[in-house]
Amino acid sequence: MTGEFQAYALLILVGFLPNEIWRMLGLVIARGIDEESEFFMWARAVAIAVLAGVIAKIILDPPGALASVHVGIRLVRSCAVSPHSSRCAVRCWPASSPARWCSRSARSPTECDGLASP
Amino acid sequence: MSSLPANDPKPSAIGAFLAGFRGAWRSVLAYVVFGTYIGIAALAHDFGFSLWWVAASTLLVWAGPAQVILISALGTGATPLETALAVWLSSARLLPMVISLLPLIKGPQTRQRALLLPTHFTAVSMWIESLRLLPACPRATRIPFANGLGFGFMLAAQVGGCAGYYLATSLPPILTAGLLFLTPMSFLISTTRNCRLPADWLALAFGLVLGPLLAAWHVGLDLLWTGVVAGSLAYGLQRLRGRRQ
Repeated sequence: MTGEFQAYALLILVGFLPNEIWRMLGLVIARGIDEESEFFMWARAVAIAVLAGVIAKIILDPPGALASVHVGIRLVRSCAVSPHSSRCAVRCWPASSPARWCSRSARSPTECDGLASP
Repeated sequence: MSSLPANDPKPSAIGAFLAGFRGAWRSVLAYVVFGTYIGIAALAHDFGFSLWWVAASTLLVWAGPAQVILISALGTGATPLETALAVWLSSARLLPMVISLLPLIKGPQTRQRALLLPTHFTAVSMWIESLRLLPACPRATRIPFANGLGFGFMLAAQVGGCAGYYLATSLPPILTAGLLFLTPMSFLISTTRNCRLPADWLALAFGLVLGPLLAAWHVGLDLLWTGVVAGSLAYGLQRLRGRRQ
């Protein structure tokens, strides 16, 4: 970073504005909609589906530091339903050092790779 | 407030705001948000951002994934355009959330201006708890209640952010990663708890499957498409079922 001012300008231009535009768009669209309308019911289903998509994506293809945790661990922790996968995790967890669970070092510059194309 | 039923005890905006604030801290999501922002602030610390910048980004952006992207992308020298695009794509979920929240809190005479703050506070945590708690609130107090909820969650985020920033050097990366992992799990559990209509369950199931599929196929705006396709399918199936019965 070259300066504090630039950091705040970037925060507003590339962080706040592209994010807030969705909320403002929602505010405009929701204007004429009431709770009983079919459009509201549909929007609710869409919102839940988007959230489900976000959850599944974070677990399978996580941003940031979470990418350092092995995908197997993430899956086992999130939906330890298969007896095989949980047995496997129990078997190898104590045997390996924490470092071996990291596919790459956490918080390294490379972790941004997957972020540019979400 | 003459439109309220007579048996309703005089609702005050401050009382409703405080009730919302308490509701946020009684929710497990406040502690999840706290933990998530420990992770986000630790990440920002490692990339050389100041604590004030982190606090400002939480106040202005108020969306975990967007902040992780913003911090990592700026910290690793991505171009502003790339960063803005990545943030924009990651925040599409906010649109259907706002559309499905505002009709719950507004009345016939509500001004758009009064909805600005709850709109800005809309994030997954606040949206989930609003959907759960708002139906039990008198409509006239829903806006301050939603603001109290949002404020409570944002305060949890700011406290977590301060803690994470100062603990950044002593937190092992695996713990930071674990904290960021809390988010999807708690969102999943809370959303499941909120599902009542068949369409809710179907939308959840279809979204869980379609989200990663569209992402893997590199479909542009994959989250928005996940929502529209999976949500419409769920809504359509519920209507079909309703017509048959």
